[in-house]
Amino acid sequence: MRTGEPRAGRAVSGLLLVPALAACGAAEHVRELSTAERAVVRQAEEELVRRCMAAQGFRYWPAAVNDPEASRQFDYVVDDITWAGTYGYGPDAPTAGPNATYRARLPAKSRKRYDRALDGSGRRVLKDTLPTGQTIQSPAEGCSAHAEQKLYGDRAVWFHARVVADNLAPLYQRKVLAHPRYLRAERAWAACMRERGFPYTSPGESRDRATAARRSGAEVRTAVAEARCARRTGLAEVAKELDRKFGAPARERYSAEVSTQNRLRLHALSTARTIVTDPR
Amino acid sequence: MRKTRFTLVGLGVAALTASGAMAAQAAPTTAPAKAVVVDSGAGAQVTKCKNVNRNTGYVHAWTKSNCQGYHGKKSGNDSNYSSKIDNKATSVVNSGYVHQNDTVKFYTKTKYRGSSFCLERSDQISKLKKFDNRISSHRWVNGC
Repeated sequence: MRTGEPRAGRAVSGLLLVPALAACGAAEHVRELSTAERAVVRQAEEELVRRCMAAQGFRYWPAAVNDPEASRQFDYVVDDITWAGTYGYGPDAPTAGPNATYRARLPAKSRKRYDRALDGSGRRVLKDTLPTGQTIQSPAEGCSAHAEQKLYGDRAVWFHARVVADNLAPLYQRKVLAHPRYLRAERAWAACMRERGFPYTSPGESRDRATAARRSGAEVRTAVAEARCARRTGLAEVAKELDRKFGAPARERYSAEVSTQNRLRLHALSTARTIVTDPR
Repeated sequence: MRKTRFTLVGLGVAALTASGAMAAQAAPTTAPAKAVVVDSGAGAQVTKCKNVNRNTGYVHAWTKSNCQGYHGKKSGNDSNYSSKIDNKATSVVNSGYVHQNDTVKFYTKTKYRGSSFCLERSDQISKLKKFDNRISSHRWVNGC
C-alpha cells in the first residue's frame, strides 16, 4: 500500500555531485545491490521527483518504500518459507494514492502541465532495442527522467543497460520451462501441493488463485505450501540450475550491460545516500 | 472475485507511423552503449503512443503496432486476458501510478505462466515482435 508523504526537510545536501562515470564496455564483475539498497535508491529517486515537481508548482507524494523485503521477486517459484509466511505472495497491484487524487482534482489545463512536468511532452524520448528485438521507448524529459539522470549520471547509458539486463530471460526462459527436468519437478510440486489441499498445476496458478481470493490468511497458507513444496520436490533447485545453464550464454553475451547496470546502481546508491536517510 | 479482465475500450484506426531512428546496438565497445535520444521536433516521426496519458494507473495494450487498433487497459493484475486482446497485443504502454510495484511483467500464458518480459513505468514498446500476439497475462512487480 502506498502511504507516501512529503519528505520535506530530508535534504542533507543541496548539492548533488554527479561524478563522471567510469562506465566502460568491458565486462567485469560488479556486485548487485541488496533489496534494501535498491529501496534507498528508489526512495532518493522519489525525493528528487518531489523536489523537481515542487519547483514547477506541483505537490508530489513520493511512493512509499516501507518494507523493501515485501517486494522481493521470485523468478520461477516462491521458495522462501519464512518470507511466504510473512508476505504471502507480496504486495497487491498499485492502487490510486495521493498523487492520483491530487492529479484528478487539478483543472484540465493544470493536469496537462502536471503530466508534462512529470513525464515530459512525449516529444523527446530515449529509444533502444531489447535483446529480443523490440524497440522500447521512455520519456527523455520530465521530473522522472531528471531524477534518473541525477542518480545514474548519463541516463541514456543507464536506460540501455537497464532494459537489456532486465530482459535477458526472454532469450532463454522457454528452454527452462520446457525442459523435462523442470516439467518433472513441476509435476512433483503439483502432487505435493495437492496433498496439502491446493490442487494447482503450476506456481503461476497457485499465485493466481491465492491472490484472486483476497483473503490474506488463505494467500499466506498457499504461498507457504508453494515454498515448502518447491524445496521438498526440488523444483526451486532445478529451476535455478537450469536458469544458470540456459541463461549463461545470454549473460555472457550481454555481460557489458549487466556490469554497467550494477556499476551505475552502486553509483546511484552513493548519490542516494546524500539525499535520503538510510533507513537501515 | 475481484478479477476483471483486460477489456476492450476503444478502436483506433489511424495510420501507422514508422519509427524515426535506429536504436543503439548492444555490442560491447570501449564506450558504454547507450540509448538514442529521439526528438520529434527534429524531424523524427513520433508514434501515437506519445498521446497515452502516463499517470492514470493503467497498463495499455493494442492489437496493432504504435498503439493502434483495439485498445485494452487494466489497472490491476490480469491472469487471463479477454478474447479481445488475448494473444493479440502488438504494442504496450505502462502508464501506471508511481508505486513500489510499478513495473509490469507480461507472460505468454495465462495465470502468470510461460516466458515473460518487463516494462517499467512510462516505458512503451511500439511493436512486440517476439512477443507479438503472444501475451496472455500480466502482473505488477517491483522491477525485474
